[in-house]
Amino acid sequence: MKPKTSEFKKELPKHLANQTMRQNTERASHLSLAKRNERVAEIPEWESLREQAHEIKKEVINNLEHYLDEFEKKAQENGVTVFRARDAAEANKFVHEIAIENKVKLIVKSKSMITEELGFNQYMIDRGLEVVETDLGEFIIQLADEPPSHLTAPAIHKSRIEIAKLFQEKLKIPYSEDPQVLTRAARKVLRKKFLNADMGVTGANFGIVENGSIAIVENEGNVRMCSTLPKIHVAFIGIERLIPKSGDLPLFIKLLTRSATGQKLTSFVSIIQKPFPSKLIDGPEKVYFILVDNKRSDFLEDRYLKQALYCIRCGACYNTCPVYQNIGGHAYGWVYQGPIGAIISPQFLGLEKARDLPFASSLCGSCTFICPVKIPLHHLLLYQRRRIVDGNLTARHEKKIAQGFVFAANSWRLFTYMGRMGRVLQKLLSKYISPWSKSREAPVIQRRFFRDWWKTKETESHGKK
Amino acid sequence: MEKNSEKLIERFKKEIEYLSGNCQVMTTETLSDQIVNYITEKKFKSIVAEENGFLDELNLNGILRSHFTSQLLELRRSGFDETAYRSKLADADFAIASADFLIAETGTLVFLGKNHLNQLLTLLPPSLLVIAGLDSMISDLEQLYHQTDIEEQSSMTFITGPSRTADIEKILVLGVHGPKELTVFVTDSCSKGGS
Repeated sequence: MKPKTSEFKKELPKHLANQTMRQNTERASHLSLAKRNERVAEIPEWESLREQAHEIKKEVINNLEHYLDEFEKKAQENGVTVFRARDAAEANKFVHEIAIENKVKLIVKSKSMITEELGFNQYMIDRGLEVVETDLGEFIIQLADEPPSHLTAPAIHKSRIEIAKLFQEKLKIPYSEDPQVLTRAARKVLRKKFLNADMGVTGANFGIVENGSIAIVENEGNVRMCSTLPKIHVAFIGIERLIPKSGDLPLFIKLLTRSATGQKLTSFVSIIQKPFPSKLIDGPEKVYFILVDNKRSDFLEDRYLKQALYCIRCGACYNTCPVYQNIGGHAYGWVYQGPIGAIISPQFLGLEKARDLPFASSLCGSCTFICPVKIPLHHLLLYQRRRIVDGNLTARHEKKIAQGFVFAANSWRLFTYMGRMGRVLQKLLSKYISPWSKSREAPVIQRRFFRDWWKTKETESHGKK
Repeated sequence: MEKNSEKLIERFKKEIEYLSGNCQVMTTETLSDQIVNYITEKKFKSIVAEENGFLDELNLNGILRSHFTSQLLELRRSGFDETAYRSKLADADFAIASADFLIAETGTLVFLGKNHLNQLLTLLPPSLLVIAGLDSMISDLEQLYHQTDIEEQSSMTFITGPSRTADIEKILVLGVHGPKELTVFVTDSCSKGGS
């Protein structure tokens, strides 16, 4: 997916004007939040679980090389081929070579943000392979040729009317807005693909170092299909997704499913360990784990930003963010959206290219509160802002105004003078100072300043004495 | 049934029902009749059944052979090619399998890879019946990792309710790619699942 993060400001009015998207996004976010809150209320020790998970992730991220080596070793002992990909080019090329070696024509895929990040689909399609998204939401947006607008519900910006029209046009079925009918149509089409696919591609929610296995959660069953039916299973895993022991899995799954969709557990959880070359056992003959770096190591160099690697991609921060609820996922211009996206996109794409994203926040802190692994999200947003300002990437006049203010605020005389001048100039300048005032009325600076009132009060009370 | 088991099974039932699944508790003696009644009621046209130690002890295959010969699709692979095997599973409308553990807190069924070589059975057919012993009930997912049966090297699948999605306007739809209907028969047989 080609990043459009540098067009953030320019595109914003378009997104804000899209009433359907806004309604759907807001509604879906509130529903997810309500369910999440119900599930969390059932767990009195929720805060302590967050703390535990945070500590485990900290330990892994601080010793990532060691855990990666261990994971690779264990997985290989199980008969899995492990490839450590430095970047998108390496990852895609490796999988393409496997496809050629094995005469792969059709690939079925389950939802995987990292494959979006790597541009995997387009890479394969450009080289003549058919790639079919099998998660219903991803299937919908693939038909519509759109990017996902949310982590766990990629088509949430679409209404059922839009989906009905889409299916009628692309799948040639009679028009129906009934989600049951639409889902059945997708099931029929996709089942054929599952049964005929040569390769199944998935992501992985967690990599378990202790035994070199991966865990994938899902509700539809398409992950199981992709990882069981085709002869080859390829799983892409971000290097930061490791957890040390299989005994850690219940903790992380609990935090993930309750935060993401307000479920105690998703319908299916697959713990995948090895290939099954025997035809008597259901499962792929060959299994590949692609451990993807793609700039994740860069995060490790910054002691604040490396906390962003703790992320388990639950999407709760999206759901709770008032900005996300109003601008929707597409406005963020790339695969990672909401508060976490606003922090990591500048890292992945460069501060210059994504410099507006960390500023698209009211710093309400709801994201930090809701994050199941206690990433200090709004602090990291502030941190990214500072880096962007220090890198001289913000509007020059903003910096001048801020410097002017600091200078004036250091002298009470100057500060008062500025205040009185400001009152006069306010009406004239408000339009030009900040887009903030385009949709808001700034409070009018009163003629009588606090210090004037105070002086009067003091004189009065002196008088009384 | 001891008190703790009672609480757990009640919790398990409640969770499964919340997920639109079904759960019935029965003695091993009545299992055979229950299965026959269930299949007859539902009018399934093609049945596939797992084969393992637990289900052999319950004589599942025998029950199915005597009452539902025409509907039963024999799955034994030696002599059958993979395409035929797959299309049988894809066409079947009903599957019966066993589970190794039941988790009360979440209404989850646990399948250890080593005991379930034909896992497509619990994935392809739209209606699934799972049989498990009451003594395989544990309280929560954390407990699973304290069980001695869990080997370090073991693939696993957890099934919690039927397949579902809310991708269209957050409206719940069951039976996307996996089973739409899930029923669990819990028996008070003595042996644990699998082997």
